[in-house]
Amino acid sequence: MVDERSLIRRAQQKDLEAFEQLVRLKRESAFRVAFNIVGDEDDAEDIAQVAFIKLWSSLRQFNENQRFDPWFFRIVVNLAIDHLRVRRRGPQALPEERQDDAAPGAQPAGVPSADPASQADVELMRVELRKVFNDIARRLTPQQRAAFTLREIEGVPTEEIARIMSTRQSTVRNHLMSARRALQEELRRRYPEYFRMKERG
Amino acid sequence: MGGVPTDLFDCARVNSYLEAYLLDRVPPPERRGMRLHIHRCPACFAKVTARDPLQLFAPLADQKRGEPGSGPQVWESFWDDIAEGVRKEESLGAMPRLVRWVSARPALLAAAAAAVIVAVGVVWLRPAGELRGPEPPAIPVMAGAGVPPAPESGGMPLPPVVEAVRTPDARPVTVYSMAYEVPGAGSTQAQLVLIVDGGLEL
Repeated sequence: MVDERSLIRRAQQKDLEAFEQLVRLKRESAFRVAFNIVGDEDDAEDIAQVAFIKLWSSLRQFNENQRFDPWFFRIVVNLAIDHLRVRRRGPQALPEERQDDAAPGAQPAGVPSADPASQADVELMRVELRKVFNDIARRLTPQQRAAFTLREIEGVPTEEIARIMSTRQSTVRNHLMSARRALQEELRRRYPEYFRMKERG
Repeated sequence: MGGVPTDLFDCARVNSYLEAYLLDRVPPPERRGMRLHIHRCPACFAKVTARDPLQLFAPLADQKRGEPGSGPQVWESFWDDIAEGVRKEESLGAMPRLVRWVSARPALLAAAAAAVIVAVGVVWLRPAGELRGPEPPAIPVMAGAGVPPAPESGGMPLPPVVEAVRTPDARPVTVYSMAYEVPGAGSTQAQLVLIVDGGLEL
């Protein structure tokens, strides 16, 4: 088991080998957070890489008494929000129409069946969910999307999100509320099978 | 993000906290434990998403990069690009702060170079005479100028006026101007004007 604290300490002393290990440790989550905010794999990879390069030059400012993840994810989230803002200033891509035609009453894609699922099934479920999320989250503002990703996907407490996004908790709650409302509307409109499931439930 | 407690929740326990979970009233450590169970248990997942369809997306927290089965090779060049960026940062770090700041802004550097070229071009192409301003007006020479009245003639010196001005070619000069009233000569005044280089104090 790699000791994260000692890697951070060594990387602060400009130990590149320790920094590479730290990158290995954090790359999945950095990529995932960036991807869920910007919705594009290549962009998310670029953002994660730039975030690590920024981390290298600012790591000395990290105080050991802080928690590392929120401190680092502040860099990732801000880069992702900026990226999304710039991209949206350009020509807007219209939301793609969904490709699959779910039969009425069919089990919605992305929902595990009651049977024990294999690892491959679980991965396919996530791929499907990722598509659905990406599809309906285009309506959100960069801040709403970042707040929703951190809260509902990453499970970060509101207080910490406020610190990551350098804003007030009440603003985060507003972003979350608007994001939830927009996503529910879009899910109901584009993927009504998930709501049929709710009605059945 | 962060350590996740495992095996702390079973279906019964998730059920009893479900309401609080959906209202976001479960403290973070327990919430993480609940999420872990919910993502892996189809029955609890169905229950949660039936109440709140947006909980569908919570399992995205466990997604790995790439398509299913793509493995760790998706990260192949990830570190190489970071290492390259780090090397660049380090070489920039060795430069003085101003150079670093400018180097990071190539557009600014190009704009500054263009401005210098234009300025040099303008100066070089203009005839030398045009750089000089118009000739200053000649100072009128008054009758009796340069001959201060003798004190015995009863001349009354007025307070001197001192002005710092610049010549058209931007040289600072000081103008000392002193007028004398000559008694018995009506409004006749004698005026003494001294124009002195700005570097000299009188």
